[in-house]
Amino acid sequence: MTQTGKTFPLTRRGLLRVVAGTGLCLAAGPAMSAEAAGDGATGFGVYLRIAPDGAISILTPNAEMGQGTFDGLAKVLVEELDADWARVTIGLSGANAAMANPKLRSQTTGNSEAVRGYYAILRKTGAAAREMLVAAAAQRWGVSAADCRTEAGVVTAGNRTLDYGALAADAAKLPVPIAPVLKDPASFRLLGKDMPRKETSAKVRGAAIYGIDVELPGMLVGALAMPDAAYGKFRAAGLDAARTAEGIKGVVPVLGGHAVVAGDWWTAQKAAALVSFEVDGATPASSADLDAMMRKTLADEAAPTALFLGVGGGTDLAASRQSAVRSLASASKRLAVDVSVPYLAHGTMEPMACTAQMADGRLTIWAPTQSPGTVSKLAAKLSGLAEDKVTVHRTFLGGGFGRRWNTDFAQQAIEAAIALPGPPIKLIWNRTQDGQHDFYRPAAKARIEAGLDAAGRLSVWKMRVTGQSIAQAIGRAPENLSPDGTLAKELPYVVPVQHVESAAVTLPVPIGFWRSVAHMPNIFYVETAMDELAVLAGADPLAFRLAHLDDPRSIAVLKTLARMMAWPQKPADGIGHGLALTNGYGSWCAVGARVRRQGKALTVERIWAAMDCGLALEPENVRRQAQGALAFGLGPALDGRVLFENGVASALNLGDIGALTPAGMPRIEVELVRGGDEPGGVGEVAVPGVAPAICNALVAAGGERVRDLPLSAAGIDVTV
Amino acid sequence: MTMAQDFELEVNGRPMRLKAAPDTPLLWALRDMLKLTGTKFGCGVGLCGACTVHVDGEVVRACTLEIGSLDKGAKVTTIEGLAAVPDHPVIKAWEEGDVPQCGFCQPGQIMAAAGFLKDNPDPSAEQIRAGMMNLCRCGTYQQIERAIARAAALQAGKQG
Repeated sequence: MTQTGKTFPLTRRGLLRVVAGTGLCLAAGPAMSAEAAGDGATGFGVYLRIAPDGAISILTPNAEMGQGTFDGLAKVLVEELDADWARVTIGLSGANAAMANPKLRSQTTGNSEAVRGYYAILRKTGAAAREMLVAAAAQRWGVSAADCRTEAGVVTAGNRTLDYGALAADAAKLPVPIAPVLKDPASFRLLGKDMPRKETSAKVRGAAIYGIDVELPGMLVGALAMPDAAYGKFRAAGLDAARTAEGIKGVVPVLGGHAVVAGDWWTAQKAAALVSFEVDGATPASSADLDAMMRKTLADEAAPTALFLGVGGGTDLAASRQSAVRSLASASKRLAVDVSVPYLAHGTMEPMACTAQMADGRLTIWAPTQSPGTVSKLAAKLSGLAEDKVTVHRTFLGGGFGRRWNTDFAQQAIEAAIALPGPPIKLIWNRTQDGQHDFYRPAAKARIEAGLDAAGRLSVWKMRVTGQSIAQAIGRAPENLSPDGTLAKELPYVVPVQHVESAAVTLPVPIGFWRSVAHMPNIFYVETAMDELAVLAGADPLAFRLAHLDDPRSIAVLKTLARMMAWPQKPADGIGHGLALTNGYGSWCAVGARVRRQGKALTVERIWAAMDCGLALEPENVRRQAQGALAFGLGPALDGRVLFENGVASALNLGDIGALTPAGMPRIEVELVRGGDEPGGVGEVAVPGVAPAICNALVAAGGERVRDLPLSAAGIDVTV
Repeated sequence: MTMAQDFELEVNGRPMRLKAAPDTPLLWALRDMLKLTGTKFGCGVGLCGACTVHVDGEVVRACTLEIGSLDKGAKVTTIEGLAAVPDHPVIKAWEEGDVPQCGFCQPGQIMAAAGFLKDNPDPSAEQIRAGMMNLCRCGTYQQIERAIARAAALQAGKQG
């Protein structure tokens, strides 16, 4: 699949105009087709172009939603290329199958997999181009490549130098090295350092273009008329009133409702508000019913159940259960607890929005999307056009958190464009719709039975988890997300008898990926139970964990955290410290919390995290991502819960979803631990540690053991 | 009434005329009529602050201010106008501090910060924390606080 034509400018001033090159796949090497194109720049594969004046253009494949990959992935390529970072301009690619994430096998952003997925291919691309530039210089000077060195976009041999720009066209004609030599990370000049991002200035000055900001000649703007309920069947009424309202150009059916299109959003929104919806069939279920079904499934061992982890590696559910039950019976002490987490909303700062245009036999989409490839295929399917008649441009995302992996909002814009061909049509949701039509983090429950032997060591862990299955929701088990596909997660702790089973429950709530996905509920279950077991064993929570760990990276983050927190601190009235261990996405994190309890009131004063993501390409960014992940997990732990009343979600605005405000922000400190040499995932691994750390700290502060999030639902007075 | 009317404002130092229904929030007049998309839509109810602008020197959440309620010739400053001021201390501090993650809330944060610093030129950390109420879903609050302290220092340096 090739991508031709201009990319959509990133900023109001059209900072970047790049013509994407075509890509040729070589069997074992980076996709390379070094070609010259209309603007005189030379393309080296799909990611890199070098202009005659030496300016470097990088197309980045990943969504930029705050993780820093726009800048960071480009750095990976430029590091190996040995170009001058100051001369680099970065652009957001459009949908391009040649830019699929090698690990995810699609051009998708998620699973903390940007660096892990693209690291190798971007290094190879940069290194191969560097070697070709060197070879071109060597040829020109009649020296060997070994006599040449590169630095900051210049090839040097003795007292002769040539800029990459002067060499690019010739270099492109040379053979592409299949196995270019990569730098030793110890000699990295760019990676491992911190510097302001390339897109920071545009974001600060209001010039960066998000999905909601797309402006095109002749563009119409639409609002959505959708039922309040997140699920159920509904009939629209009042469409004629909307159609005949002042300034309305069209009202067309789209996924989930109707698009009401005008010259400006406010006019469209007022008309859309004239549309109402009546239930067409059964009344949609409420939270009481949903919760009852989940409790029933949790309690019913005869319900369809998958064995996630069998005792001794066994694969028979009944045999493994019996084995675990026998071990429990002979344990010296036992813990039996039910734990739960609620539905959560994403609450991205930018509401859902997308623009599409059907004109001249082409369908063009401008989307703040985590899944441009899916959007492209969807557009082709809905329009009947061949995919090479579809162009998907990408914008910055005002937050993603997994929400913009779904393509519902893009589908609506596509359908509106097909129904109203000609002008570009931008659809924007209002905030209430954003909260009511989310793909929620699924509510989930666990039943844990664990046992200690006479020496106070964990002898058996039996866990049953239930909840809606994302794998079921998206129609396939996502191979890259195995813990999430099966609802369960392996324990990091050494327990001789481990039995984990999961029973997916079918409920009507639309669910999706929410930053850290199934790691969050699972780590909440495990890390609160571990503290309860430590109490049973009469052990310090840190010592108890360390006694059950043989994984050096888990041990290292816990020990670093302990130092950061000065664990154990002397007990003080109303003050409690708690901790939790997380892992996932190739990374490890230990999270600690200090809380102050005054009666029923709880204040989170400090959060610490020791984060091991292996090789941290940009240390300060990693710390900030962890800080952001901790803040993201903190709000919902305190007060995040979406309830449904006849299908209508309680998430009516940003104040209803446990979004952390400045008033609720504790002091957060993050230290990096280098536990490995490969980059691990950064954006999500810290999220799950916050809720259990706080719940554990609350107990340490003399408060109650909360087993059902959020804390506010237990009557605790929190500040979010 | 919803019929579009003419409105005259001074936006970022320039006289502007636009046509809108009088109940159009200033936010949407700026974005859709004047194509100034730096001011963002986050909640529509004045809760998040992403739409923060200055009107006649006051910090205002533009999503809750109807254009029909503004005085003729009201002076509006948006992020685009603030950023055009050479060496604006808040802009400088935000860029030096590399504050944004996704960045969507940041123009509103900056406009709120600029207004806050006008009234509190030498704020303590506690005052900053109490005075800034804009929402950030990426959790950049600590970087925002530091940038405001830095902007205060830059501002004092300029005057001192």
